[in-house]
Amino acid sequence: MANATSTFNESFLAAFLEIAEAVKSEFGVYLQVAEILGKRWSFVAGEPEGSTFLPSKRLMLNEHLGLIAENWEVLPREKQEEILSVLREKLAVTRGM
Amino acid sequence: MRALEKEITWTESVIKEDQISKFMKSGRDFINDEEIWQKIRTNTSPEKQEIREILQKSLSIETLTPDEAAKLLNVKDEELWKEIFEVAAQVKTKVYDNRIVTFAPLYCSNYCVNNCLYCGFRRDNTLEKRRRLSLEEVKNEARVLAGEIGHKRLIAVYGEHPLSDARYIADTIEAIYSVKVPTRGGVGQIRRVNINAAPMSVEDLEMLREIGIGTYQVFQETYHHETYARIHPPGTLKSHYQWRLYSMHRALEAGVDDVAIGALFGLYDWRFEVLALLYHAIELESMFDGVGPHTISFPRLQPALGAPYTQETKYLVSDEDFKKLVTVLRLAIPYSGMIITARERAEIRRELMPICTQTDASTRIGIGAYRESTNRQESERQQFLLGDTRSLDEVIRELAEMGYITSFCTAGYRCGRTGDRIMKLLRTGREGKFCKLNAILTFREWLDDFASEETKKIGEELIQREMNEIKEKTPVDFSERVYQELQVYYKRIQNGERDLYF
Repeated sequence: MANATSTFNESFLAAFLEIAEAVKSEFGVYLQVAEILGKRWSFVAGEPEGSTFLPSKRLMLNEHLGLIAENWEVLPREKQEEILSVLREKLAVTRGM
Repeated sequence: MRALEKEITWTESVIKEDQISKFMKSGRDFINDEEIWQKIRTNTSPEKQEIREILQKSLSIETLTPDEAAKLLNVKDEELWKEIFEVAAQVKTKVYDNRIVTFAPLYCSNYCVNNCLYCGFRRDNTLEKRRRLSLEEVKNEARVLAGEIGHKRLIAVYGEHPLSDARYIADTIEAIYSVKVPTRGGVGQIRRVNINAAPMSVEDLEMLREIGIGTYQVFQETYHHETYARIHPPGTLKSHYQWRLYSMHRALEAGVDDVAIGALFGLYDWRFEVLALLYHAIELESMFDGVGPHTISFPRLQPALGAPYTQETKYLVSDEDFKKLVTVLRLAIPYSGMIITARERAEIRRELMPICTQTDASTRIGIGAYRESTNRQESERQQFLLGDTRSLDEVIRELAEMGYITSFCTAGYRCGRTGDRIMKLLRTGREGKFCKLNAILTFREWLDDFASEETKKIGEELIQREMNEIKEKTPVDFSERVYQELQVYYKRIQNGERDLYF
């Protein structure tokens, strides 16, 4: 689900949504992408209704975009690094926004 | 003379017709006065059963239709009104649990190019002392609010004037966010700044979006076209009805995804304004992927120095009608936050608290009044007079005695619960769970940092009850892990950490 009010690179979003779906079904981890606007992390895409109600981890992808992850710590460290690396790489290629 | 010329040039540059017309349909806006009156006039004498079906729809957190809301407005049976109020309270609890979010207004400037007949800031009001706070003065206000009173959320308020344009607004917000004040147990800081400001262009709103404003709030004042034209003199910026009406369209288009609407009750018939607010919410939902107003405000017209319309209007709303209008709004737009402010007397606030979600306290609405004034009201530097001047400590103590937990939560907008995501969480009742957890944590912070001994004692008993309730709801509503994390966070806050949230 992507926020209709935002215009983000479709290719990055497609990659993100694929990863989000995979980690949700395999690990029960919920991911969202948010635009970083000062203190505000404004919803862009991800699971709109899924939530564990656990505290979220906020991870910067670049200066404009961040990843919000619930249950992030259940992922093996290599998986965490892989997700961040893939998304950051995709952003670097597509210029993100 | 040069200042006046500059003001005129600025005024002429503000309104962008193309940013209004693109949203209009066949040259008409979405408020059809005749249609609204027709809904009020035809939906009379509703059957009890019909009303109960409407209440059930609201309990499912579905926006009501104008016909359904008109039926509620036309209920005459006072016993049925009691039932309606009880369901409105259930709706509030289902969406937001038993928490009340608190905030404070921060008036930054009372210069205004407009001349609204009901407002103390009107241009022709020579009794008003004009002032715009410097950024250092804004910080001083924030230091009192965050370091002495304990607020975490502000609504910054600005008159419409080149001296308080979007650039000034952006600078003041950054100034407020920069303030950190040591407190008894930790650090005080404003964590969310909402703004109440004039309608702006998409370009200005994009600038405010970039610096991370909280909610953008614009009240239409009255939705009735003829009345609007009468009380907003021609030639002023505010006389352009549609420029104001489409403020939220432009905000959402600019990516400001938390917007707030309201009407100033007392300018025109209250039943009309209630339905118009509903039409506004429906319009936003239909245009922006289900995103409706984050909050709704329903200020009642209050006396203001140099504002003749406050004495003349025949539409002043009685307490009884006020309770009804708030109740119908609660039911008609069930996901929206409902703000009752210190304009209202304490007893009215007390009565309506079961259906409201936000309130202010320790409120001062003079420019620079938090730092400079005593606790008295000063009509020459206020937009209107307050009905309730109690301190935050007193209000919180009373709320706790009533079973409501005061929340200083500002977590949602900092972790992606914005725009259509927050709407979905609200409609499904899931946001209320975050509310419950974060209310406990932020209330603990405030008790440790600011509460009087008396309030602390009552507050701690309330926290214990809240903790017990969460435990009872585990593992059905909250997982064991969530409950454990709550315990861990709670202890960390007691040990001096701040700003931990779910």
